[in-house]
Order: sequence, then C-alpha cells, then structure tokens
Amino acid sequence: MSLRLFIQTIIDGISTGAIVALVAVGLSLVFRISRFVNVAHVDLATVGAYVTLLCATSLALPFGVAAAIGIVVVAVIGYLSYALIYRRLRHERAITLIIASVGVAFFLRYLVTFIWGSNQLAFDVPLLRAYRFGDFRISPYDLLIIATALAVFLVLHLVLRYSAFGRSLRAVSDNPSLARVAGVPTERVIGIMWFIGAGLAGVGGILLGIKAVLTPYLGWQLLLPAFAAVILGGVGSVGGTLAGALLIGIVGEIAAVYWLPTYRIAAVFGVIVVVLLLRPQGLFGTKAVAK
Amino acid sequence: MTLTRRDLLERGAGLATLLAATAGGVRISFAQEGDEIRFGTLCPITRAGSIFGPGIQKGIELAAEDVNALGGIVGGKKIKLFSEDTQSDPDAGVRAAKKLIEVNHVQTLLGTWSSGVTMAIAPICIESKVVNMNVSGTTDLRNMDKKEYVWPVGGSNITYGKMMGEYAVKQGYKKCSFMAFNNPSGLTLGDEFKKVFEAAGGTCEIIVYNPNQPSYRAELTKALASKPEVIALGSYLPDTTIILKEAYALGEDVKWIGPIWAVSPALIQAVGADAAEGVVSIGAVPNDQSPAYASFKERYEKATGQPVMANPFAAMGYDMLAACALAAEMAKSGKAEDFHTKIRDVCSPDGKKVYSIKEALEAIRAGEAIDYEGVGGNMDFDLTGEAAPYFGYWVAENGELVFKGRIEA
Repeated sequence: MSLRLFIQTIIDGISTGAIVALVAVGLSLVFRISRFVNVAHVDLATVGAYVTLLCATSLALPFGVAAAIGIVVVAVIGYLSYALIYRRLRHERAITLIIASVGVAFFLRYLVTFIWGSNQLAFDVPLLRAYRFGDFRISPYDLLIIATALAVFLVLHLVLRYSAFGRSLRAVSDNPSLARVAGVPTERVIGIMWFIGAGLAGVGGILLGIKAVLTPYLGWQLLLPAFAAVILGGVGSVGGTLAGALLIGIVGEIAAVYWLPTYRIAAVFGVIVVVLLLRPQGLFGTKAVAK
Repeated sequence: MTLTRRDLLERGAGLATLLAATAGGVRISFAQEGDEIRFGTLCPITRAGSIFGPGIQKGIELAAEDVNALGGIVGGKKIKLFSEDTQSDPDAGVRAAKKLIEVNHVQTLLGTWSSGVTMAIAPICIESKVVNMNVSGTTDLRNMDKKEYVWPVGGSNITYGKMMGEYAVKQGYKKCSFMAFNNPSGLTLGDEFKKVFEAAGGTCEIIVYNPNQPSYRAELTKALASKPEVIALGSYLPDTTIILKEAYALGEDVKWIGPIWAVSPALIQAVGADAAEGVVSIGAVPNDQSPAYASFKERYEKATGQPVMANPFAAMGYDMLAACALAAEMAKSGKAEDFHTKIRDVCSPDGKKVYSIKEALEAIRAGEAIDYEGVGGNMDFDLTGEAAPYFGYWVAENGELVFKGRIEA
C-alpha cells in the first residue's frame, strides 16, 4: 500500500512537473540567448490559452486547429515583443530588460482581463476517467501533457545539438560578437529563438488550461515554479530545465502527500536551496554568465 | 471703459438679487430635507458583486415604496433613497460612501456585499453615525466593536460552516474530510464544520491547501486516504473546478458538499453535468414561510425578471430598509444617531411577531413590542450584532442545481 502510494505520488509529480517544464523551457531558451528573465513569458502562456478558447468556441474550430492558431499567435506576439521592445534595450543592463518584461506581463494580463473578463472560463473538452494500469492510475490529459513535454524536449534536444540552426544558436548564445564575425545571422537566430520560446509558452498554457481553468492569472501562477526549474536545472540547459521541473513536481507532490499540502512550496524551495549550495550552477548547468 | 456710480449700483443690485435667489434655493432644499428621511444604498452594481447588487438594490427600493405607500414614518415623512455603486471595490466603495454621507446627508448605507468594502466603510459609518447593513461574511465583522451602527445580515463564514455541518450530520454521514482553502474564510468554514460534525459523533479531518495551483491531486489523495463518505469544501470557484475535475478522473465514490459561492451554476458549467452530478450546495435562502414572502416574490420577479431564489440577498435588502424604517418610527426620529439603537429592539424575539411593514408600524404606534420577521431572514441579531439567515440546500442534477429545501438548525 505505502509503496503503491509512493509510486503513484511520483507519477502525479511527473505530470505536474511536465506542465512546469513546458513553460520553463521557453523561459530557459530566451534566457540563454537574451540573458534576462522574461517575466512576460508566463503571460504569453495565458494568452495562448485564451486565443485557443476564442478559436474553439467563438469560431467553432476543431480543438487541435484552435490550439495550433493559439500557439502561432503567441509565437508572433513573443517575436514582436522582442523586435519592438527588447531588441531596442539589448545593450541595457539585465534589470532594465526585466522591468520592461514586467511591463509587458502586466499589459498582456490586463489585455486578457479587458477582453475576456476576470471570471473563470473553461475549454469545452470532455472530462475523461483516469486510465488504470494495475494499481496505478493516470488521467488521459496528464498522459497527453507528459507525452507532449517529452516530444518537445526530444525535438529541441535534436535540433539544438545536431541541426545547423542549433549550432548557430549555440554560437550566438556563447559569444554573439564572435558569431556575427563568423557569418552567423545573429539577428535572425535570436528572432527565431524568441518565436519558438513564446510558442512553447503557448503550448504550456493550452495544456494547463485543459487541466485547470482559464483565468487571467493562469500563467502567472507558474512563474515561480518555472523560474525555479530553470535555476535548478542550470540556466540555459534544456535537459536541465526538464530535470529541474520534474524534480519540483515530484518534491512538491511528496511534500503535500506525506507532510502537509501547505508546505508544498516550502519543501520545493528547501530542495532548491540545498541543490544550489552543492552545485551553484544547477543540476546540468555550466557556469553561465548573466549580465 | 469707465465705471460710473450708476453702473456700480446696477451691478451690485444684480449680485444681491442673485445671492438672495441662491440663499432662497438653499433654504428650499433644507426645507425639503426636513420633510423626508434620506436613506442611502451602497450595493455592488458592477464588477464581482454585480450578480447580487442590482437585486439587493431592488429589494431596498420595494421596501421604501411600501413605507411611503403607507404614509411614511416619523409623522408622515417619506423615505428618499440615494444610491451609489461600490463597484465591488473598497476604494470605490469608500468614495461612494463619503459622497452619500457628505453630499446627500444620508442616514444609512444599505446593501454592501464584499467583505473588503464593508470593512473599509464600517469605520466611516461609525464615525459619521450612519447605519450600515450588509451581507458580508467575514468573521472580522463579528469581533469588531460596531457600536450598533454596522449590522451583517447575510450569514458569516461561521454560520456557513455550521450549516454545512448540520446538513452533513442530517444525512447520517460519520466520516468526512474537509478541504479548506488556506485563508480566513476557508479555515473558519472548516473549523465550524468540524465542531458540528464531531459533536454529533462523526470524525472529520481538515486538509488545508494553498491557492493558485494547477493541480490539487495530492490534497485530494490525502482527503481520500481516510476513506470518507463525504468531502466538504471551504473553497472558491476555480479551485473547486479543478478539484472536481480531478476527482471525476479518479472515479472515487464520494459525496461532495460546498458553499453556494463555490458550488454554483458556473461550477456545473465548467466541469460538466457528469462530474457535478450529486454535488450539494449550501446557501442562504429567503424566508419563504413568511406571509409577506409571496407578495414580495411576485413584485420582485415582475420588476427584475429574475427568480427571487437566484439571489437570496435581494429579500435581505428589503429587510434592511424595513428594519431601519421601523427603528426610526420607534425612535420617533429619522436620524440614525437616534434610531440605530432601536434596530435590535424592532427585531427582538421577545416582541410580538410581525411579518409586514404595515402590521409592524401599526404595532409600534400602538406601543407594542415587536419582533420583525423579514422576507429575507428572521433578522434576530445575536450578541455580536449579526443576524443569521435561513439556509437551504441544492443538489446538482442533470446539469442543474435543484433546490431541495431548508436546513433546520
């Protein structure tokens, strides 16, 4: 019984962690290339969920199509926020960029509130019973979330490691000036990265919307866990972000079940402090340098 | 241009005439204020409370119409209402309260809903000697020294917790888990529920959870661990939605009880008919056993096009104005400073039970002690100055919340 509960708790922790991972990975990618924490990233997740809702309900599109539109819209907004705001501020200190992103975050959140109101909304997707595997159970949507997270991370890993774009990206994030001299189209690489990062926030937001309910604070509530996952995994490391997010999910779930639910966050941050004391660069990080 | 003495005289005379006219106008307006009693309403017409505010306001207006149709109070003075909107926001509420008190010179601010608004305007009411009646649920109002100016009539979180407990006991449940949102409201509901439930011989475990989580599965696992027959909720709409969705996925056979603000039609819409089936909602209900209820119901529904059961606070709005008007009649004064201490007297259980404003006024004029029983609740104020309404329960059936009846304490 107790072993069964423990394993079930880990399964549940993984599905919570997978959501955090999807939101965190975009945060990590953007950090890697632009060297600041884009606070508005989590609000892009919110926008993704609401645009999907609009397409699925008002325009009556199939949910998959609606989700695809939501992701693209968010990716474009993410790219535009870079092109119009952050690119102009790129020579400023990181704190200036962070404050600018806080402004963008508020703008997006209140735009959502203005258009859709602050009452909760929900996707019109059917409720499904959990699958049972022997003594264990997992809901189909959690399975979808875990599968999506794994697929996204696998593709990202392959692209970053083996494609020409991945090499350019690594070059730009390691040393932008040197990359430019070597003929890497730096601007284009950074723009594409913002596009992809924001799109991933949209994916996370839509999946979170399926699991929970849509409110203007949908993504905002994930900022702290996502940021923690990036730090824990090692800033800029895609694999590290996944590991960090899963650890956060599992530790939180174990603390809630075996200790007290109210200490969930405290336990997570306790573990983060211990990990960072032992490995200041994070689980998978190299010694990253922020401005 | 040179100014001659004649010009000066002419202009001076004009100015004097203007001043005289203005002074006359001021005198006229004072004269009007003397013939009427000015009551203020401060309901949440817009934003979060807008599902309740317009109904409360209509209830207050119907009572004022009744008082005026009966020839007014305190020697034939009519009640004149001045209304402002709290916007469900403490800042806007305070601005509106100050306007009503300082510009309109009202004696009451009736119908505040949000606890934040009521807590913000309460000190202003006490300081300005103006009566506030509200439907706010915070227990802070119980502990506050209200100097008989601030009167909650909508049922506090303590009452809600107790009534949820009473319902669970009456169903014969012996084992319960209570999932409490980690704030004063959720914790108070849990503590009061547990007291009632365990006094009746049951066992209840309280699981406190933090807000704004994407999942409450671990909390649910904990709540289910003791194999309860029922899970009671001290929660809000978003967290309740997520909890019920996850419970449905688990497929566990357990009953659910929650307060009306969490288990509402919006919840059923969000989770769907299947996941909501059988979930019980506990909330305040109007006093449908009052002889005056049928007429109120008919007039209210005709005026608003809304069923009176959809907004229990509307009938309480009627009682707020009625209680203040009766207190003013008993004090023989339209000033809140004089009548605020009579509010408890006109609703006191020792007196003769009266159900309509008409019979209440007649009894007061005959010098009798009365106990006004409202259309919203019985308006019996306890030692802390709070009146508990009647409670009823609804069950979600085929995607609708169906009213099943009152819960007798």
